[in-house]
Amino acid sequence: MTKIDIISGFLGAGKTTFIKKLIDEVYKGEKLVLIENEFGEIGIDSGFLKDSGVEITEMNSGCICCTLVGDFAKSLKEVLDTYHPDRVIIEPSGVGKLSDVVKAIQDVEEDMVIESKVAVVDGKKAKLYIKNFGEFFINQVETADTIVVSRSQELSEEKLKECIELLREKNGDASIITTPWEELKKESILHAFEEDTNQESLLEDEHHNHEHHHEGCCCGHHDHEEHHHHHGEGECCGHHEHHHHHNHDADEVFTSWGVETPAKYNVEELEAVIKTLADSTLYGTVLRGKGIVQSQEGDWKQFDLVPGEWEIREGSPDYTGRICIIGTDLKEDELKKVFHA
Amino acid sequence: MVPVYIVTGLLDSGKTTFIKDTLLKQDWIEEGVTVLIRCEAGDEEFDPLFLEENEIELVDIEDEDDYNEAFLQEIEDGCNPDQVIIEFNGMWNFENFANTDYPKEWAIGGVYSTINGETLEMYLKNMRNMVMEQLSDSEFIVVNRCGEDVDRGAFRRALKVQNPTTQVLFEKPDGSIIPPDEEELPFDFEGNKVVLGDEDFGAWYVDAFDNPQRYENKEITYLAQAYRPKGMDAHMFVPGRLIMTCCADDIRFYGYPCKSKDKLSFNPGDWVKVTARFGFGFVTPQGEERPLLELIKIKSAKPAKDEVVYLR
Repeated sequence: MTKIDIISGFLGAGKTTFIKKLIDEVYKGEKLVLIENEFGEIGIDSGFLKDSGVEITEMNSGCICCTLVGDFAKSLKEVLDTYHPDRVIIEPSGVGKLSDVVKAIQDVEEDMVIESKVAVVDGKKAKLYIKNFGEFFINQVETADTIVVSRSQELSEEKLKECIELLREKNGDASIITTPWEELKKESILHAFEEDTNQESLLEDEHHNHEHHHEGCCCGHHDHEEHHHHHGEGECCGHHEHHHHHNHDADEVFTSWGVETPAKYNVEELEAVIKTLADSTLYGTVLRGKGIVQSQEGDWKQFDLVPGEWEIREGSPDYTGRICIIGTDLKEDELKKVFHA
Repeated sequence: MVPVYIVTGLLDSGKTTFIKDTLLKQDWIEEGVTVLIRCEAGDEEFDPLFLEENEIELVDIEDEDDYNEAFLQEIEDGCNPDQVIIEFNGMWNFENFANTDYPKEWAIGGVYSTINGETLEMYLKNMRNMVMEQLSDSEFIVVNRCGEDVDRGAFRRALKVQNPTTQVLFEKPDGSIIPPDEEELPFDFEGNKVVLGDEDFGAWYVDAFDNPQRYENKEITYLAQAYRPKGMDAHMFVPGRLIMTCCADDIRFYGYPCKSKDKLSFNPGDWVKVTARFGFGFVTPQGEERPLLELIKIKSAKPAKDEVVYLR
């Protein structure tokens, strides 16, 4: 089965750069085809593609009044029949609706599945574009299951947070990648992509209590051992069939509170908060906590806590800061406050 | 009459700066109340003190659907303006905007446009009609922040075909004006005989419209399709080409009329190689003077490789 990734975003947002990163780092070794319906600022040079073994198909439409969404279906069908690739990356026109592209692709009767619907958004321009561009831009943000913020390193923390809030207003479900791209590792991107495929189950669980033997929260862990945990973990990790079977037995009711945040933390303050969570019931009865966040110095800190015990250590960058707390009677508003989320 | 000045252009093209530095400064605006209707909220803001001093009322409108006759009438009734400036939202449908009637007291005083040269080439490649449509009524177009990558000649010609009377001004990133004579043409017009390549017809057609004196009495040789509009004398025909300015929807036939000593007969659209002397004297039914060619030589020819000429 061929996997399809759609990378949308307005002109100049950085789609091509992001696609290069996907080809070069994330999907290395896969048999890839790239379908482009846009001519960006940076062309993907054929040498790069040749080295990566990527086939490229350009749809030469150029202007949106002539860009028929139907062309996508046709190009895609041809590509699938000709190359039988593992994956097709589609870069649609920057002024088109992502939902139209998704629909056109879903109509193609081939052995394939849309794996990721991505919107690349220029962090510096998100506010202006949301306000002034209207439907097509908002449609991209709303339809995406992963939103990638570009040029986040050029924004102050405050501006970045404002940008994320605006995007969140339009799309409460998508993972939002805020980490500067140079720091983004393959695992983090995959993690962000993976999350969204389970957004529905994630949402379903969001404000529910559920029965659980949480062994931990997968936030920020990508090593093999932790990966195993995935299937038994809190909602911040986004996977988990078993959450569908809620057990309303009062004795075992846990809540989990999770958040994605681009905030940068003062390490001492973070330590104090983690310590309080571990040692007191100020924010509810915390049973388990885990997170990976960026410090004000720019490096990443990973923390773990259980009652009476906590640890903060160096971590590797995730796609954005992520925190997950599990316990009973959690005071979510208070947690939000102390974590500046 | 209340003059309405309209400024079009995409987000970040410099509309607000144009309004501030040009429309509101250089005695463009008369005394009295100016209503500034902003259909877009960009980066540039207005100083409240400045607005007050100049009797400017700001009216913001966010939703395209709210822009209609009733909305404008309300402004007329409520503000009783002496003049109106409208800052268009470049992502709106320009046709709908242009087709919205103004209150009867209002009349268009001018349509101006700004373009950001930094993103022009990219926008043209990917959303050409969105860029071009809103420039179709502009009498004055400023392309600012123009780097070396902008093909100024090609863009000017595309604008001119769409709207022959428009004025286009290119500015360097430092704000200085780039003289138009620095634009290159794809053919040599210096000698007495000008020979056009098969794809050069569009560039020549537009340049001859703008700078007819450049070609006066010269012999022009080019590949064309022959047409004779209804009612035209049998001693006249139009050797021209199909030109595409934006996309397949706007391909149209363009050419200058050509007279010949003998009566000519041909099938509409026949391909010919013509040599003609460039002159003046043709007057359109609207009373405008246009170039008139005088046929020297004509012979049938093979069709061009691409039937359509592009202005890109």
